[in-house]
Amino acid sequence: MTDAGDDLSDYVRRVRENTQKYLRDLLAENEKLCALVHTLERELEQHRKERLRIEERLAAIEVERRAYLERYLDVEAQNANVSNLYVAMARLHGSTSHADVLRAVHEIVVNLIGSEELAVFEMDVDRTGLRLVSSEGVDAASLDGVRPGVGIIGTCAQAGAAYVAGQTGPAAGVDPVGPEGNLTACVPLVVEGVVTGVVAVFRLLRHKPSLEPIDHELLALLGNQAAIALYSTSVIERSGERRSLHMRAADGALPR
Amino acid sequence: MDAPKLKVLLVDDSTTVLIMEEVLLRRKYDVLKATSGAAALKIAADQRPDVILLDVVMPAMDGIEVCRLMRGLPATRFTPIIMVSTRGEMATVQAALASGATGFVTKPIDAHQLTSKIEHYLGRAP
Repeated sequence: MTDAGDDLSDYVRRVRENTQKYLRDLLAENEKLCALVHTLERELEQHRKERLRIEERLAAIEVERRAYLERYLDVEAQNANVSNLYVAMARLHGSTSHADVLRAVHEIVVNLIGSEELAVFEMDVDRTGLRLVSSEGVDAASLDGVRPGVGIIGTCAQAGAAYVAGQTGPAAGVDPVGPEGNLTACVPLVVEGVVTGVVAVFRLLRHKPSLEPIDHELLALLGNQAAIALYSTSVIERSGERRSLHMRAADGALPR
Repeated sequence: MDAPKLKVLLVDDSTTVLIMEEVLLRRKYDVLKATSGAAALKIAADQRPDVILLDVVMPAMDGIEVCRLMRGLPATRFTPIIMVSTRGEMATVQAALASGATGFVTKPIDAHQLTSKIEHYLGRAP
């Protein structure tokens, strides 16, 4: 009976000790887990912050990328515009033939500005009339013999200022009627401040709704550079004719 | 070593357009030029360009006819041909595509549109 009682109390003591040890272990484990959870929470917070920082950086990079893209497109457009001006300039000054320069003016208006209806006038020596020297897509007969100060083309020539449909200028108050009905732009050809002629651009191509900024630059370039090219080729051709006449005279083909 | 440039054949009777296209494309491509349909057919057969820009309205032989003939040549049977014209109306576009053209661009040429189309037809679109 005593042995059995000792066994039982020993058993109870061992169970109690084991339970206490198990409880201690559990508490220790719980403490470790609490520490781990705390560490993980700290790391999670750090990751959250890092993610936020990266997201902010990505947003900034995206803004930067868009800005660069816009800048690239802008530069590309500027490049194309400069190319247009370069090509126009190269064509206008690439020949000593008056006819070639006129052809270049036509090609610039048709292919770079976008109109297949144009007319080029040169001022008469006595400055009383504008002579139609070339045209395309318009009724030439109705445009010949424009007088300075009359109609839009004439006003443009007299004032030495460009006309663009719908914009202000010396010819803004003049109604575009008759052969000038479809006039889109009219640019005086000016050499050293003297109007030597006019380039008139009529209807634009169907798929081109209006003039763009580069077209205004091309028109301005025509006003200056086509004027110089047409004037200098006229001078070259006249002096060539004179030289040929002198040479023929020197050869005895003509009476001196 | 850089890869050899691809060849682009520009066909137009207008010197202005040829210079314009050349200025836009010469950085990326070797540029070949022809001012008539007959010259274009000869250059195309000899040089085998990778892409062709072909004007629709040309004297003697128009771009539609040149395109049709190019589709009969072994050298250009499958070459991308982009027609270029001031005539942007549907009838012209349809005639160009019916003659075998791959694409169509209107004048005045938009530099970005032109280069994008060329890249696209060469399978190098971004």
